Amino acid sequence: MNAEAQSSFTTGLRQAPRPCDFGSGLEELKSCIDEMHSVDAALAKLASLLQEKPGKTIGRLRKEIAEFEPTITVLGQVKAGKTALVNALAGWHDLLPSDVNPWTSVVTSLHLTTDTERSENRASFRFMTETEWARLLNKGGRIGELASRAGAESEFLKIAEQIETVREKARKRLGKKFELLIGEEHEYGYFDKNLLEKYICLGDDFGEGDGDPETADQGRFADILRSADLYLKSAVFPCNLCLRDTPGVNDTFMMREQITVQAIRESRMCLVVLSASQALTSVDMGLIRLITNLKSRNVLIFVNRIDELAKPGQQVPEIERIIRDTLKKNDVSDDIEIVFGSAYWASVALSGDVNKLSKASANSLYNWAEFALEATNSDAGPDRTVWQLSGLPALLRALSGRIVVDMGRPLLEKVSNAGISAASGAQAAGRIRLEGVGEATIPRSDAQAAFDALSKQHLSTLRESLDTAVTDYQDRADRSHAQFVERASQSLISHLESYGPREGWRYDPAGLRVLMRSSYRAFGQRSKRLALAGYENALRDLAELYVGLFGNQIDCLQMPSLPLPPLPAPVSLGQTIALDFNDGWWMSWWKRLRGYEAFAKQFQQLIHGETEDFMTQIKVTQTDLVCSQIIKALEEFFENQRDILSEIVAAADGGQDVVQAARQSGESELFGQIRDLQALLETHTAQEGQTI
Amino acid sequence: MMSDPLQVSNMDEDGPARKPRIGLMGEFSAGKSTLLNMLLTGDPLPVKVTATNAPPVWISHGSDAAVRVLVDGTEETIDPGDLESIGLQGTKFVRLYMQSDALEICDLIDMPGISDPNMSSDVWKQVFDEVDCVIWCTHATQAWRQSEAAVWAEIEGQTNGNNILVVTQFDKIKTERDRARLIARVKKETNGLFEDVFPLALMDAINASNEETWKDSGAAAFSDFLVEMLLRREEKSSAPIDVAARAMGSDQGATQICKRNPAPGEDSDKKVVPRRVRLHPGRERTNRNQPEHTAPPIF
Repeated sequence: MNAEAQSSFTTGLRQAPRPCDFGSGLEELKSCIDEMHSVDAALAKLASLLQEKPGKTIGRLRKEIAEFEPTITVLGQVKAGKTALVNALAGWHDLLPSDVNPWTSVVTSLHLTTDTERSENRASFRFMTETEWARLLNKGGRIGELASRAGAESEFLKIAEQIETVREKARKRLGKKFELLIGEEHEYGYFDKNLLEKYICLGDDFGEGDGDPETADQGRFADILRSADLYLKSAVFPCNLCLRDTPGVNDTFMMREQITVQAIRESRMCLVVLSASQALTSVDMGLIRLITNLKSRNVLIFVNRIDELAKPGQQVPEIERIIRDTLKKNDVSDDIEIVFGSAYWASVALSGDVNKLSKASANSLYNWAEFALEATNSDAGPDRTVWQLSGLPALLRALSGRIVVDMGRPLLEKVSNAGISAASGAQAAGRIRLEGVGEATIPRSDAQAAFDALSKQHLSTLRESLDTAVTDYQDRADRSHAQFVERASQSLISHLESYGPREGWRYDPAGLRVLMRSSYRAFGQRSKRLALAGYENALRDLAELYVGLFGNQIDCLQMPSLPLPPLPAPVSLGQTIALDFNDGWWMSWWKRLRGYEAFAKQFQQLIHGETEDFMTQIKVTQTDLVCSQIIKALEEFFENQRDILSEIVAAADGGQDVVQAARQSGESELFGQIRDLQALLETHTAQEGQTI
Repeated sequence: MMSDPLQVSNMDEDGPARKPRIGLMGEFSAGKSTLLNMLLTGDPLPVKVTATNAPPVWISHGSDAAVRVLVDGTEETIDPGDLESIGLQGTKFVRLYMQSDALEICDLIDMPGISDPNMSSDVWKQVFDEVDCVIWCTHATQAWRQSEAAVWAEIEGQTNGNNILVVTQFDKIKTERDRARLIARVKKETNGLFEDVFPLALMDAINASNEETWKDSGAAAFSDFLVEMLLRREEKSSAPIDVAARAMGSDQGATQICKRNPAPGEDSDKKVVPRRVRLHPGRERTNRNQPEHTAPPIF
C-alpha cells in the first residue's frame, strides 16, 4: 500500500503516510469486487458479441456494477468520536474537522473514489429547502421517546424553537442572501480545511463576541445546510465507498439529532459508535432500536475510546458482556457484531508519530496489547502495531463482510442472472434461425404488440390482486386498531376509578405494535403468494407467446427466474406512540371534563390522533412500498424480455452476424463462463435465504 | 458497630439543624463514585456499591453501620460488607454510616446514574425528595448532553439552588485551548442552572501527593467552593455555624449537630485533621448577622 505522504490540497489537508498494511481487513470485499470485475468483463464481451446498442440490458447491468458504492452511515451520541472514526476509516488522520465541542452539524458524505483517471476531488453542498425545514419537525420515531429520555414528550416544542432561532440567526447574518440560499447547491472543484469548516462546522458560539480570528469564518453556512458531499480519490478501498458522518444524537441542540434521525431512514448500513467509558446508555439503545426496526443485520457497533480506559484488557470483555446483556434484554438480535478500538490510536498510527501518545494512553495501549495482540505479528513496526491495536483492521473486516453479504453478493447475483438471460435470449435467437421456424401461429410482425398486451394484462392483474390484499389488510388493521383504542380507554377508566386523576397514567402501545406486526406479516405472506402466482402466470404466458411466434423450436430458450423482492421491514412499527398522561395538561384535561365515561370519548379521539400517523405509515405507506416493489420486479422483467424478444425477432427476420456470432462463441465459451459464474455465485449466496 | 441505626435515622426528620443532604447525580459512569471516594477521603466505599444495579446509598456520619430501607418503609440492619449483594428489588435505598470528615458537614446521597438502560429513573426519583442540593457529574469528553439537560430541567426546581456542576475526567481533554473552549461551551449551555462549574481530574485528585497536584487537578477550587457554599447555607438557615466550623477543624466544636436528637457515634470532641484545602483566611462574609469567625482548614 502507498506509504508516501501525499499532499493534494493547498491548505493543510494532508494524507498521512499509512502503515503499509492499511488495507488489512478488506480481503473479503476485495475478492467480491474482483468477481464483479470478471462479471463485468464477461458482460462487456457479451455486449460486443451481440453488438448491443448502448443503454440496453447489458449496458444497464454494467452501469449498475460501475455505480456500486456501498454506503456506511456512522451514527452515535454527540462526541462519541464519529468524525475521528470516519477520518481513520478513510485513512486520513485529520480530514474532516473534529473538535472538543460538537461541531458536526451536517450529514457529510465522504465519497472515496477509486477511478483515478476521470474523478477529481470535489465538493458539493446543498442547502435546506423549505420542505426540508418542515420535515425536521416531523413527529414520530424520535430517539428521545424510544430512549425514555426525560422531557421527551415536549422535545417537539423545543426543537421547533431551536429551528426558529437558527433560522432567525442565519437570516440576520446573511441578510437577503438567506432567502436566495434556500434549496441552492454550491459546487467546488476542490475542497480544503477552510471550505469544510465554512460549510459543515457550526463553530463556537459562546455568547460573547468570538474574538478568535481563526474561527471567525467558521459556521457561515453550516446551520442552514442540508448535506455535504465530498469526493475524494482514494487508493485504499477496492471499490467506491461512501462514509457518511452524522451529527451526534443526544445533543442539547436537538435540531442536530433530528437531522441524524432523517439520515437513518436513508441508510442501509449503520455503524453505531459508542464511547467505552459509558457504553450503551438508554439513548444508544434508543438509537439502535430505531435502526434495527429498519433491518437488524445492518447494524454494527464500534466501541470507541478504549484509549480512555485504564485497563482495556480487563474492562473490554466486561463491557462487551454488559452490552450483549442489554441488547438481549431489549430484544435486539444478538448477532450484531461489536468491535472495540480507538479512533485516536488509529489517528496516531496514521500520523506516523506514535511518540505523540500521552503517558496514560500509552499505558492503556500496553495493557490492551497484552490482551489483544497475541495473534499478530510481533516484529511489526510501531505504526503497524498501534494500527492493529486501534481496532480499525477488525472494524474494516467486519464492515467488509457486511458489505459483501448485504450489497455485493445481491448485486452480483442479480447482474449475473440478468446477464445469463440476455445471453440465453441471443442463444435462442441463434437456434431459431438455424433450425427454421416451425408452426408459428402468430405473425412475427405482431410480436411487439402481442408482448405489450401480455405484459400490460399481467401487470394489471397482479396490481388488482394486490389491491384486494391491501384492502383486506387495511380492514384488519382498522379492526385491530379499534380494539386497541377500546382496551386503552377501558384501562384509563379503570385507572381513574381506582386512583383518580392525580396518579399519572400510562398505557403500553406494545399491544398495538404486536397486532400490527402480525397483520403485516399475514399481509406479507399473502402478497408473496400473489406475487409468486402472478410471476408464474407471466412466465407461462410469455413462454406460450414464444411458442406462438416461433413454433416448437423454442424449447432451447431458457426462461429467466423472476426473484421475489424481499418484504420491506415495517420501519414505522418502531415509531413512538406516547400514551401517557403525566404532564400538566393531563390535569387541565381532567378539569375540563366531568365523568369518566364522558372522558372516554374524548380520550378515544385523542388516541386516534396520536396513532393516526403510525396507522397511516403501516397501512398505506408500507403497503405502497410492498406493492410497488413486487410490481417493479415484474416491470423490469418485462422490460428485459422486450429487448430479448426484439433481438430474437430481428434474428429470425434475417439478422445474420449477430446471431452467428452469438451462436459461435456464445454456446461454447461465453455461456459456459457465465454459467460457471452463476454456479459459483449460487454457492456463495445460498445462505442468504432471507426474504419474506 | 455500637450505634442503633433506627435511632440514627430519626435524625432524618426535618429539624432546623439537620445537615444539608447533597445528592451525587449524573449519567452512569460519569465518575460519581470516584468523586464520592474523593470526598470521603481515606474511607472509600467498596466500588461495587455504586456500580449499576445498586440502589441509592445515603451516607451519613456515624459508626460503621448499614441499614437497608425497604420500599414500604421498614428497615433492616445489614452488614456493610454485604452492600454489593443488595439488589434493587424492594429496596428504596441504603443508609450507610461511616467516619469521614466530609460527612461532618453534610450527608451525601449517591444516586444511581441516569440513562442506564437497565434501571428505571423511578429508583432515584423516589429518593430525590430527600435531597437538598446536587453535585452533578458530567463526563468531560461528552459533557452536558440532552439526556442530562432534560433530567436537570425536571428536578432543578426541587433543589434549594445550591447546585454544582462538575466536569469529570477533565484530564482526558488534551490541550489547554480545548479545555478552555469546552468549559466555555458548558458554562454557556448551563448558564443559570448551577452555582458554578468545576473541571476536575478525579484520578489526579485522588492520587495527589502535594498541594500543587491537588490544586492542578481542580479539586482545590471545587472543595473550597463546596465548603463555602455549605457554610453560606448554614448561615442562611440560621443553623449553628459551628457545624461546619467544627467539621473543618475548629476547636470550638462543642455544639451538637442536631439539637433535638444527637447522633449516636458522633464524637463531638474529635479534632479533625486539616487536610489539603483551606479557605482564604479572613475572607469577608458580608450581609450576614453571624458572628465573625476565622475559616479553618477543612476536610
